[in-house]
Amino acid sequence: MPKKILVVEDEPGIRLSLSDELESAGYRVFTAENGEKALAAAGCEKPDLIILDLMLPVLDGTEVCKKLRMRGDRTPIIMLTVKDKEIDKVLGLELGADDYMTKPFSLRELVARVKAVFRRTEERSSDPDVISFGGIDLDFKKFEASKKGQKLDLTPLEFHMLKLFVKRRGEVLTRDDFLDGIWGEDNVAVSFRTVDSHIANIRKKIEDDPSRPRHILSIRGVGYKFVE
Amino acid sequence: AFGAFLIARTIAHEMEVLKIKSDFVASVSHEFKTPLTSIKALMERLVDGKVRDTDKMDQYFSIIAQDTDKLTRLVNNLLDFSKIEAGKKEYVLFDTDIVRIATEQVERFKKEQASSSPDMRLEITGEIPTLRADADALSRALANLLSNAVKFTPPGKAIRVGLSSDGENVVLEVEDEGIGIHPDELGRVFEKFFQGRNALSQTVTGTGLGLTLVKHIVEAHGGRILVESRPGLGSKFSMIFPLKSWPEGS
Repeated sequence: MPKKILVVEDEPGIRLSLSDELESAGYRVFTAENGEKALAAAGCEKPDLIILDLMLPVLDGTEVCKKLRMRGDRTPIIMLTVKDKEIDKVLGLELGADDYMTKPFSLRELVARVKAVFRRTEERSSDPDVISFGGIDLDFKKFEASKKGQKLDLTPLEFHMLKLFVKRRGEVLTRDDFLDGIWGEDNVAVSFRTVDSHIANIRKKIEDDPSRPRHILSIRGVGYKFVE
Repeated sequence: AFGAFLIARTIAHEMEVLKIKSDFVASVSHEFKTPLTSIKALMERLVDGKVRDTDKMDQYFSIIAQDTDKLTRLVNNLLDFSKIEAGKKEYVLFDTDIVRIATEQVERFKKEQASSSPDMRLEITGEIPTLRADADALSRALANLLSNAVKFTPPGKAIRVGLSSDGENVVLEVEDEGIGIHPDELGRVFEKFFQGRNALSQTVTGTGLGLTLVKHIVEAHGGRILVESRPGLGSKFSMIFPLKSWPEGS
């Protein structure tokens, strides 16, 4: 059964070429030219992945992404952006998207990114769903987290990073491990600094004393290690 | 203390100018990147030989042509703005068939839009006399108004282009059923770099130069531009051109 992709883009040329390219690659493609139609199509067609332009008429990509996440829709989203400075925002600090492409992009590159996202999604489906440690409960399927009974507000990206930690608990993970495991081997623009920034945010949320972490340890000159 | 105040005010002003310039460059860059991405993606598939069906190929070439037109309009707007700022913009006047200009622009926009985009129609009332004008500038002004109308009007709503004459003036107006303009912004829409907001108060893409150019073109032809708007219901921009002759070289 071919995977279904929803392409949300108001520029006719991008929408047409992208949907043709994805169909040539064996996917079943639906399109929407604005945010309102995107929300309707996501609910109706239940795509396996959404490619979502950030700047859309009437209801923009930011709002579409937020509304999808608010209604519990965890479909992977690749955002199409123009501005480099939006990358951190797009990738989960606020929006909960899974990956991004900046315009202008090559179709080949985008298809490679689509395949990487599907690969990561399949790997995640065979991983443990729930884990508890040090008063913290994480449910990776429901994207719910709590610390000593109090709800924790983790972004989808932070969940993915914690899942990678849990999967390889006790091992030292380098920043490259995160870049490859979370953003994909084809990623060229997310930096080590971005990885460090996300880990700092996770520590603030799960550690009793972020300056003296007990679960996410820094291994000098190498990376990070998760201990329960 | 007064000296320190003046210095602080100068610095604040300089920083504001730098921010405006920076935001403008970012907006222009964005306006270029989207049609360029479209052209790049379509060409990639054509060059790779992935488009075999002739109807599909026609569709690809048609969109590439439209995107090239969009980029040309953007460059022309920037060049016009630059000349206006330098006080060097001139208009060349000929007897101009404004009916032809309006018809061409409406047809072009209708062709560019998707089938579910706002419905656009041209309404000509009575006989329209020839206008002594710069045809290219009038086309540009109308294109800018139509571009804005499409940007701010959701699919399913209508855009009306009206052309009429009362014997003394020719009136060319663009009326939409879009989101309208906030009352506190109505007086600012013709300011350079000013950008409107959509229904969620998010800034819409654009360089903020389109309406500035429209106003300059209309006024350089001895005319005036009026705007009426009701938030949530739509806007109407009316370009009023006098028919009486006026000095050449204005």
